[in-house]
This record gives sequence, structure tokens and C-alpha cells, in this order.
Amino acid sequence: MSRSQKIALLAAAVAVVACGVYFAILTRPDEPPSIAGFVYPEPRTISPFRLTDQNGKPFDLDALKGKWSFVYFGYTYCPDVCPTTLAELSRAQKMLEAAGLDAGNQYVFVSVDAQRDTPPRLAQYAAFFNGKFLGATGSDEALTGLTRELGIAYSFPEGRKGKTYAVNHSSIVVLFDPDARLHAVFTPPQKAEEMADGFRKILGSGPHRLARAG
Amino acid sequence: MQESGSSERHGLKTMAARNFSWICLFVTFAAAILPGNAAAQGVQVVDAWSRPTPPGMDVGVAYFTIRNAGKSDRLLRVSSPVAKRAELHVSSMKDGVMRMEGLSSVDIGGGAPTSFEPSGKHVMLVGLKRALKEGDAFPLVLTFANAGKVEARVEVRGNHPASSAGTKR
Repeated sequence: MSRSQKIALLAAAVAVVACGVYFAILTRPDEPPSIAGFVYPEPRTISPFRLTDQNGKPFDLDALKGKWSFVYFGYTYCPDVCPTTLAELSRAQKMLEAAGLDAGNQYVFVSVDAQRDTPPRLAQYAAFFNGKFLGATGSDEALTGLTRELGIAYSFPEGRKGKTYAVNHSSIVVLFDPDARLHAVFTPPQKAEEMADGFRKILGSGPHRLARAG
Repeated sequence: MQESGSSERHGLKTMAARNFSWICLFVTFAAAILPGNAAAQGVQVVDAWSRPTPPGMDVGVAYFTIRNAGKSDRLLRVSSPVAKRAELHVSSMKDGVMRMEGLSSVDIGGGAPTSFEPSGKHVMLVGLKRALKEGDAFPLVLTFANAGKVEARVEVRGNHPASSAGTKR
């Protein structure tokens, strides 16, 4: 074999390997990015629901469309876990805003305790943590289907009397994509840095990469 | 050269050990003579902070760290002039659900500090007499079985404390 033949053979081998690697990357199934929580491999469609927003208007699937929505379920009389999570979510919003990744997002605090949390109270409460935060709530009937689908549990003490009863509730932040599908869940204890970072990773992967590039 | 250096170090070590023995002896005597004082000084409440409260909200929270250099003690109750009641609570995760439960008292062991922190043990202030604003401070009185009453100054920090004091994964 002449020297030029050897070189040609080597070049051909390199080309074959490079093509193989290229196609392996191209055809690799899109693995969900790793975040402080989990990303659904296939975003999940949610059944229609109807809650009431802080202005007394309906809050339903349509309200989730066209935006990324960070949604947290809790109650305003919650002294520890809810303020902690909302303060972190507020910091995450500011980080995303600084990174130019916030314009198409909304942040919603859903109270599972409509008995005490009226829309005006929710408006005040949500805005207190962050001017961009919205509040919504609904009757147990309206909330049951939605919370079940999202894997959120909550329960009241027997009687639900007085003003200061505590509510047991799942403390997750759920992320809906602009098609109103359940896309990811941030699990407690949520840290602002981890939620912002997780959202960045989600934007950088999958079909929403182009849609949200601006 | 090397040998003399090492023996010098050895000599220093022995001296330090001797001094340390004297200090220990002194501390033991002091503790024996002043049992009440030693206990009071043994329990310290540090880094007490709270969150600002939204308008119209009459519940609040207080977090702090208890250091106990003395014998095991027990936190029996808390009170504050800013609230009708202050309750000892713990948030805990069970089957993915956050629960908040009342605690009748909290054991404060000697040695490692006991943290009251977000999503863990905390004081719930019920019936706040005024809104808590960032930059405010208010007193919190902690009553211990042995150390008696210890007062802490609770600082109301912003909703975005850089350290998120005590929140951890």
C-alpha cells in the first residue's frame, strides 16, 4: 500500500466514525433534562378545570395557554412552608428576568383553602411576594380533579373550624408549558437557583427551544 | 537540628496540655460554684429572624438557633409581645405531603445546636398585633426547663434573604 493510499484509507475511516457519531447524536431520543425535581418525558395533557382568579374571573386551561406557568398550591395562613417557597419562587422570577427568560412566564399561587382565601385576599397575598404573582382558588369540588391529576394531595383538620387551622398539602411547584401541559415538577425544598437553572435547561431542550428563544 | 526542633515542639505540646488541664479544672470549679449562672449562660438563642407579613395577615413565623453549652435542656414555651400566642411547630414531609404539627416541647441537647428553620421546627406567631415589616425587630421570650427565660431579638428580614437562612436540601 502506497503512502497516499494509507492516507486515503485513514481519512475514510475517520469520516465513517464521524458520520456514525453525528447520526447517533441526531437520532438520540430527547432525554429530559435533569432538574431539582423531575421533567415528564412526555408532557401530560390536563383535563379541563375551572378555578377563580384573584379578580373573580375564571382561571382555566385557557389561562395557562401561551405562557410557561409556575404554579404552587398552598394557603395564606400557612406560616412556614408557603412563604418559604413563594420567597424562593420570587427570587427565581427575578433571576429569570435578569436572564431575559421571564417575559413569557406567569406565576400562580393556588389556594386550596377557599374558605379563608377570598380572591381579594389572594391578590394582596400574591402581590406581596412578587408584583408578577397571581392568585387563584376554587371550591374543593373544582380543585379535586386538578390536584389529583397533578399528584397534589391536601387535607383539612376535622371540622375546619376557627381561623388558624393548618392545612396539610403537597408543597411542589408545577410547571405547565405554553400548551397548558404538565411539563415538570420542582420538589421541596425548592431553591431559587435550582428552579431558575431547571427552567433554563427545560427551555434549552425539546420542542419549545425555538418557540421561546426570544 | 531536626531532633531538637521536634523535641521543642514536644515541649510546647506538653505545656499546652498542662495549661489546658488548668483551664478545665477552673471551668469545672466555676460551674460547680455558680450552677444557676452557668446554666443560663449555657443556653443561647442566636440568629433569630422572621419574615415580613402580608397586609391583613395575622400569622407570622420566627426562626432561630439554640446553642446549649451546658447539660441537656428542654424548650417549654415561647411568647412574644407582638402576638397573642406563639406556638412551637414542626413542618415535616410525610408521603410527599407537608404537615405542620404542634410540639408540646423541644429537647435541646448539649453540644450540637438546635435549628428552628424554614420547612422544619419553627415558632408560629398567632394573632399578630401589628404587621411585621422588613427591618423591624421584636422580642421573643423562650422558656427552658433548666435555663429559665431567655430573650431573643428577632429581626424581620426581607422576603429575599440572600442566605435563605437555614434552607437546605
